[in-house]
Amino acid sequence: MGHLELRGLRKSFGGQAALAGLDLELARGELVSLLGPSGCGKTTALRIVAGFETADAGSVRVDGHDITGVPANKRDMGMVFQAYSLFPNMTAAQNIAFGRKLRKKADRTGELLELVGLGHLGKRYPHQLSGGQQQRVALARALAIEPRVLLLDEPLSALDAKVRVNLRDEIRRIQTELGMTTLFVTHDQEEALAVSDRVGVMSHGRLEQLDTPSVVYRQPASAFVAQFVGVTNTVLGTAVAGGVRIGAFRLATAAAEGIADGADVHVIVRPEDIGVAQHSGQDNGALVGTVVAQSFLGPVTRLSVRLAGGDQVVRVDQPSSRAGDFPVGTAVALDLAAARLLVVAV
Amino acid sequence: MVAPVANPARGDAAPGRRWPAWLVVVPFLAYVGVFLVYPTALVLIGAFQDANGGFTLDNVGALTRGVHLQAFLRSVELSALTALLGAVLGALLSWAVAAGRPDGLPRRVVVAGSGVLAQFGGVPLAFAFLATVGFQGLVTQVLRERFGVDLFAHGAWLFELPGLTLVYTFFQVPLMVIVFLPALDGLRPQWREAVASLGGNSWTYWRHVGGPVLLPAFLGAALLLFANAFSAYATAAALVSQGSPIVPLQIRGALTGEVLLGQENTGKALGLGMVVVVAVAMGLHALLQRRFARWR
Amino acid sequence: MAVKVVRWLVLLAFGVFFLLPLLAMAEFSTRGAGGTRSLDSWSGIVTDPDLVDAILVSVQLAVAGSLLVLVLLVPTMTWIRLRLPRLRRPVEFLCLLPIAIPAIVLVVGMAPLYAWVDYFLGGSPLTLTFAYAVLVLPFAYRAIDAGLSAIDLKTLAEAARGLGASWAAVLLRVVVPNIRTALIGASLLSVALVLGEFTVASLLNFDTLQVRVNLLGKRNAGVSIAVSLLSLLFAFALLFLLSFVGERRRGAAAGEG
Repeated sequence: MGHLELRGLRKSFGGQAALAGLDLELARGELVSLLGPSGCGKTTALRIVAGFETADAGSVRVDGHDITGVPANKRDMGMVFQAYSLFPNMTAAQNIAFGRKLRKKADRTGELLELVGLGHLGKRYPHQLSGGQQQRVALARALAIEPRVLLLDEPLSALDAKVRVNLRDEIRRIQTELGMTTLFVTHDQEEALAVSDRVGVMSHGRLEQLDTPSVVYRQPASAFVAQFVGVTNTVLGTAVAGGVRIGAFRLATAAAEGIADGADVHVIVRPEDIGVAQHSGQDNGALVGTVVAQSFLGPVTRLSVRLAGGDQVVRVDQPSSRAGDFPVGTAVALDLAAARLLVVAV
Repeated sequence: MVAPVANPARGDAAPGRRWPAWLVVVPFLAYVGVFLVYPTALVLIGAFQDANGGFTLDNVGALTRGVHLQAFLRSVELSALTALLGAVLGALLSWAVAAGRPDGLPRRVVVAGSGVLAQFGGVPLAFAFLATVGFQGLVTQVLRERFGVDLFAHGAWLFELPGLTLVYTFFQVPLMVIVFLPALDGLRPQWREAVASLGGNSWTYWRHVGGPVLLPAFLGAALLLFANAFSAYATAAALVSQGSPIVPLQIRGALTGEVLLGQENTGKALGLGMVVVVAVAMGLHALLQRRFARWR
Repeated sequence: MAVKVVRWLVLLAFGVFFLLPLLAMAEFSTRGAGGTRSLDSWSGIVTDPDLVDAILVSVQLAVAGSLLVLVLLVPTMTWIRLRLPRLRRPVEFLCLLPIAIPAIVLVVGMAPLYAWVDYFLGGSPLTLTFAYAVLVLPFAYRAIDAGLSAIDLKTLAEAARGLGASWAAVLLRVVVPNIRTALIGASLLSVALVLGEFTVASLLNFDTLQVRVNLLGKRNAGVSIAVSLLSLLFAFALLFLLSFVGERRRGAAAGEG
């Protein structure tokens, strides 16, 4: 039995379905991210758990108790909002103390300020704090009530890139330290992969895949997941017996099983899963093309390769140390590692 | 007005003549100088001049005695009372409007109607109340004929201070809506939700967050309302034709000739007094406004 | 749900408070002899030549006043943002000054000034345009300031200059079209204010709409009340229109994750 359970949640706004039956279980102390584009229903799910929205159908349980009908202020959920949620008329310390005061619990403000690394800034008002500091205070305020579940609604989206990375690692550290069951909503796939125990990728109000970050990345369950998480190539091809055909190139793969021969398919493959070699010019049945651009990304350099006999461009990652072997204009042969392909009917 | 002007500092190439950049603002400054600064200076300086242009404190001194002092006290009383009524009632109406959809019809109608009554009012408002609770007004007649109540049993109150209070409130409430509605819109829904997730209810929210956040805006708006009522002339002029109970009407008297010899500049001194009161109210208003702006 | 009920009760109560006088005006202005209904007061509006003249004067003043304030403010404020940022505070102060100086005080200083205006330009009531441009200055300033803040004026002007536009072209073909909404707002507000203005006109002895209405009220309250109602409704129509201006700019908002 999970610590937090969402069962069959449905919700629509003016005829538009935001959630079309969402099931999700979080184990105690687990951090699960809901990842998806805007409008996929992830925020709606979080707000239903928090009690700010009422689901049309389905239930929310904590420790097996149904809390679907419990009002937001009796749920003991710690919530961190996107931004600007600190009470502007209170100092950082007063913001943090607010929840415990309402509960008549002993003050722990100093300790919480230390926890989020702001021991010296308790007397500042929100408008005197940077965006990152404000979100740290918001986190401390949410944790202060010793919530049963921590809910994070895109808490990093309004921050600068550097601060964002720092704070997300910090959130993960604190969450692990406290063993806090956490639901984290974000549209940033890198963020979700970096901090989560499991990632749920959502689209159109449904979970497309729910698994550990590495499985979601390595074995995407659908074309949508593959394209939303990380960088992928989507190459147009045709299903043939025992594999796929891209132009004149035939690739034997089990990934195309179950798709009728002759059907148009998308072959989905990540740039780092493609090998590349200089092509001699003889037709040996390889997938060939020409390098049309290089972009340096630090440890790797991404080659854009236009496939022969068409205008499809495939992105291929090479260690930057080897990129000098493939200047723009080089004819290359591509090696698709068959095991890491996803083939879907168009 | 915007002939080619070159700014040597930026090396902007303008072939031919080179005019200094400030030339463009000359017409504006000249106009404001003549029609705003000059008349204002005339009042402020004239307040300290006698009939021959010599310096005197007599005009200003006259404000501290007799009818003038009474007029100031009455003006302040009327303005403060209607500002308070207007602020409280206007805040209530603002809340009722803000709780609805931002593009809904109630809001549109209230905002447009408020603009009319707050800024356009003047003479038409006086006639609106004559038609309603004047001697022959609709409400007066209905009360007299159906209920046997005589609204004017205790005198012609509509044409005295109580009447002014009623009519002023009628334009103060809309003005409050205009200045307070944006403040209410500035309350973020996250604050309410944060209070709820921390275990508070609606009362907790208003007591600890909504109320304190709005307080500077509320007080600032009330000061603006005070200044507005204090400056108002048209409604009072149309309603009160006998006597000059408040300062603007005394200025009317000074301008239209009810002046005693040796008091030619009393009108200017009264004007100076009004400017001082309004400036104090508006200065405090600006301070509070700044405080609220920081919190948004 | 209780909140919803209270909200509608509040709206209803204020609705009655604010609509009752308007209703009473409609009732009063349609009274005939011996308890009958008649539209004499309303037809009296157009059959009184003095009133018609006063209305025409006010309409001309409204147009002239808003044009004058726009012609004064738009080039000045644009230029100050582009080239003379140090003048921004002082000019803002001057423009907002009329808020702190009641019209009744201003008119004390304007009375001697208008003796000169009368001497140079004649006694036409249209000379009131100068005083009215001052009265609407703060409102026009705020509207135009908001309009200019909403666009990247500097970049637009530099781009236009880079393409060879003269400053006049920058102003008329780049700035003005881009702050169109603000200009319309400023004009509508100015028109409403001028049509309702009484203080200055009355004390400088000019015959405008509101002055005439007030005078008329002494002998024929019916017509005065009819005109008052008409002008209130007209101002309401103007401001209601104003609430739709700039709709498009506010349109883009509200995203959900």
